[in-house]
Order: sequence, then C-alpha cells, then structure tokens
Amino acid sequence: MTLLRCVAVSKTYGVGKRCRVALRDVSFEAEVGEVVGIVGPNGAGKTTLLRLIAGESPPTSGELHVGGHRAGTRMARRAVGLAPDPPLAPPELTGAEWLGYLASHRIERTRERVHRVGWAMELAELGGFVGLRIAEYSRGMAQRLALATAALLGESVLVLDEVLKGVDPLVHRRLRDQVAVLAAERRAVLIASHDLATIERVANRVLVLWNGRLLADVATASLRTERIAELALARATQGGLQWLLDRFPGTVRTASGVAVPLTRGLTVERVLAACREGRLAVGASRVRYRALEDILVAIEEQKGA
Amino acid sequence: MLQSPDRTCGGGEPPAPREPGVVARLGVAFRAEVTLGLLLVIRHRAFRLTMLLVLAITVIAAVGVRDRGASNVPSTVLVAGGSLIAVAASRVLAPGPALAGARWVAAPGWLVPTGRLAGALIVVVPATVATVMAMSVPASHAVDLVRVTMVATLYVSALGALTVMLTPIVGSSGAATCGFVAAWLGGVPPSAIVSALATWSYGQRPVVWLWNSLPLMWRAERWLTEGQIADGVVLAAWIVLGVTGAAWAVAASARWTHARREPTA
Repeated sequence: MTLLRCVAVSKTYGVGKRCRVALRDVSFEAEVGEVVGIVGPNGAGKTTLLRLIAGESPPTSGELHVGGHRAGTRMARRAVGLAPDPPLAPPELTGAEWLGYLASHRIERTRERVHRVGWAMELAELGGFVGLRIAEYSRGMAQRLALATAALLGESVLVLDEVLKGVDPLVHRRLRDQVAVLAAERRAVLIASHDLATIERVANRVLVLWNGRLLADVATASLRTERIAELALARATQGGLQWLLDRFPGTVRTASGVAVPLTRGLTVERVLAACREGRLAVGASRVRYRALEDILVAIEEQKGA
Repeated sequence: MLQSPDRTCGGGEPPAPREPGVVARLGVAFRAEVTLGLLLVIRHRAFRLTMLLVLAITVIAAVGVRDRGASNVPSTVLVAGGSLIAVAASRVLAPGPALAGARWVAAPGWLVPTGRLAGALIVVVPATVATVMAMSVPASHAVDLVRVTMVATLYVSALGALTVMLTPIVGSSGAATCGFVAAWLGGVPPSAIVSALATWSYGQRPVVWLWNSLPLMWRAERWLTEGQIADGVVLAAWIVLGVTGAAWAVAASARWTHARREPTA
C-alpha cells in the first residue's frame, strides 16, 4: 500500500534574480512498512522535501500525496508526524504537558489518550525527564521528545529530520529499532540525516539528493552484495595512482590510498597482484561492504569530472 | 530483524483511536488549546513582570482614587487590562514551537486562536476585575462596577484578538509592542489626533482612519460614558476579525518562516 507518492515535485524560493531551486523533478513512492533514508550534502534539499511532505509549504510544481490526500490539506497533515531539526517544543511546558496537548487533538477519550501518551513516552524513552520543563532538556532529550511527538501525531507517515542526532549511543541503538517498529506497524518512515551509518542500519531504501535532484534510489540490502577493497599505499607516486585508477573503473582515492570496488568477478588478490605489477607498495588492505559514503563519494567525483 | 512491538514498548502501540463525534472531539481539542494558552502565558517571565507593573499602577491609582475621587477609574482599569492582554496574547501564537504546534495539530482554523485567546483571558480578565475591585471606593455603585468590568472584558478581548492576529506576522515582540502602544496611547480621542496632525495632511487621514477603526481605549471609555452600543459592536467585531486573521496567519505562517529561514536552500 502506497502511503507517499511524490511525482515530479519541484520547489523554488524567491523570484527573478533571487530565484533559487531547492528541488527539481523529484519522484518516488514509499510503501507501508518502509523506512526511507534521505541523504545528501548541505543544501541538497532534504529538509525542503521533508517540509513539503509535512505540508509546511506547497510544492511549486508536481504532485505530492500523503496517505491518499494531497499534501498540505488538513487530512494529509493529520496523517503526518514531523520531527523537525532543530526540535520544536515550548520551553515553558514539560514534555508530558506537550505530548498531552498534542494527543488531545487526536484522541477524545481520556483513558485512550493517557495510554497513547504513555506509549509515546516509552517509545522515545522519555520516562526519566518527562516531568521536567523542556527548557531544561539537553539536545538529545529534545530529539527524543521530537520523535515521541512525531509518533504521536503521525498516523501514516513519519518525517524525521536528524532525529537521532545528539542521542547517546545506547539509546540511539534502541531508538533505531523503535523507528523500524513504527514502520512495521502501519506507517512509512522518512528519515533524513548526515549520519550515513545510522541510515544504512535503519533504512530499507536510501534516496540520494544532490542540488535538489534525486540522483539515486538505493536499496540498503544491495549494499551488502557489493564489496570494496581498501588499500593503504605507501609512497605511491601520482603516476602510479593514476595507473591504478585507470586499471580498475570505479576506483576512488581515499586519505591513505584507494578504494577499489570488487565487481564483475574482481578479487582482492587480483588487485594486489596488479599493485605488485605496477610497483605500488601496499601498506595494508581490508575488504568491506559497500557503504553509502562510497555512493556519495562516487557521485561527488562524477560531478567534479 | 524487526522486534515485536509487544517486547519493545511495554504492550506495544495502542490501537488507532476510535473515531469520536465531531462535537466531543472539538470540545477536547478546545480545552487543550485553552490549557496550553494559559500555560504559555503564566509561565513566561514577560507576563509576570507586566503583572508587577500593573500592580504598581493599580496601587498608585487606588491611593489617588481614595484621596481625590473616582474620576480616573475606567482609564486605569483599561490601561491595566490592555497592558496585560498585550503581553499575554503575544505569547500564545509566538513564532517557534507555539506556532508550529498550531499547524501540526491540523485543527479547524478558528479553534487554535480562539482557544489560546480564551486561555490568555482566563488570567487577564480576573486580574482586570481585581483592578476594578481594588479601585472601588465605598461610594461606588455596584451597577457601575459591573458596567466597567463588562466593558473592560470586551475591550481586552478585542485588543487580545488584534495582538494574537499580529503575532504570527510580526513576531511575539512586535505584537506585544503594538498591543502595548495601543493600550497606553489608545486613550487619546480621534479629535485630538486630528488636531495634532493638522499640519501633516498626507498622514492625517490614514492615522485618523486607523484610530477610528482599531479597538482602542478611547472607544471603550466613550462606551462607558455615552453608552453608545455601536462602540460595543465595533469591539465585538474585532474579536471575530482578530480570530479570523489569526487563523489565516497560522495557516500561512509556514511559508513565511520557511522562506525566511532557508532563502538559498
């Protein structure tokens, strides 16, 4: 069941010389149960896309439907739970008061409301500080409250912008599981972050945005089918490095040497043999799975070229 | 492997709430807005400081009333109530979490500004009534006190609605300033404005028009002294206008704030 449909969505700000394109022709869908990661450099359009989905501003062109309703309409906004970055909650209130207020707009019966607020608190592990004023919260606490807020309000789609930033590692691990549980229940979850390792772990699919364009739509499972050989090269000359880059397509430079994708039957032994042949001294080597970072680096190199 | 919600969340996610009746749902949501409006006002230091200011004004004026008679009671009550509502109403839809929350709940447009204004009035109206009581002297007629209270309540509601409407547009501080200026200078009658701006023909007409249109103190005072019902109607109309304008501003505010925050996204 498709909960989110985005067809050729564009967004521009300003007019004339000050016109800036934030998103260009972005199209994708999200099904129930999916966790979709959104990554890209600063200014790629991640936050703009999330805000359009949440109905905070309308797209300049294209179609955007949330839970079967046009984004921005009241029905669509009732289907979305937004956790913005930075988190927004009135500092004068306690976490419990804020969640209680929001729940009052969704649930009429007191017992159901109390139960649901309790569930949201437990989900985001707010128990220890939910009675404190929000002004006293640390960044991590505020992020957890934002996650609880989104879970409470979002009936179909959760839109999480950097929601796990600043959360301590142990809670971070448990909240990642909770995001997956939220999606498994009956929702689609969109999560934007610069923390690529988190996105790899929590998302089923990853959208790569670059200058407002959707450049890649990658299933995270596919990353586990590709491997990369990382070589630390000692005293490699510019010519020697270039020789290696030309020999194996897709190879990129790293801080200490090169990263060679092991595709089309290529093995690390063959790469090391090529280094011996090219008289390149290999200080160390390791094989790892392909990561989102490799995709971003490859896109950046492609753009640079 | 996904964990079972039962194991991760102490009983798992509660089932989707049953669809309630419209009236009951709006009733619960309205009560939540009133409570939030009240909390946003009483927990903000600006409002508490304004309460201190009003207390000082009231004490000074009450001493004067007892010494020289009750001639300035309505003005003092209206200035006190106006000052309080200007600060209180500027908190309830302040850009930031209060305004964002108003959009996230996706309630009918009128509900959020009406509920939060009501929450602010829950604090301001009793304080205004207390001002009336503090300034009453043994010779005061009960009927007069009731009239002053009624007019003051309608006046602070109208000024509050105007301030609530301005808050998403000009920000919390801007709206509080506008409300405060209106509360303190609003006692000047339009005829005095005409005289003051006699040499400035271009500005005179719009300023006088504005002075005649806004829910200012001179109108409430005239209603008290002359009893013209039209003044009451104008003040009541401003409550409706202010709430309607605030509902529109809440809906439109996301576009302004986003455009301001991310002009080069």
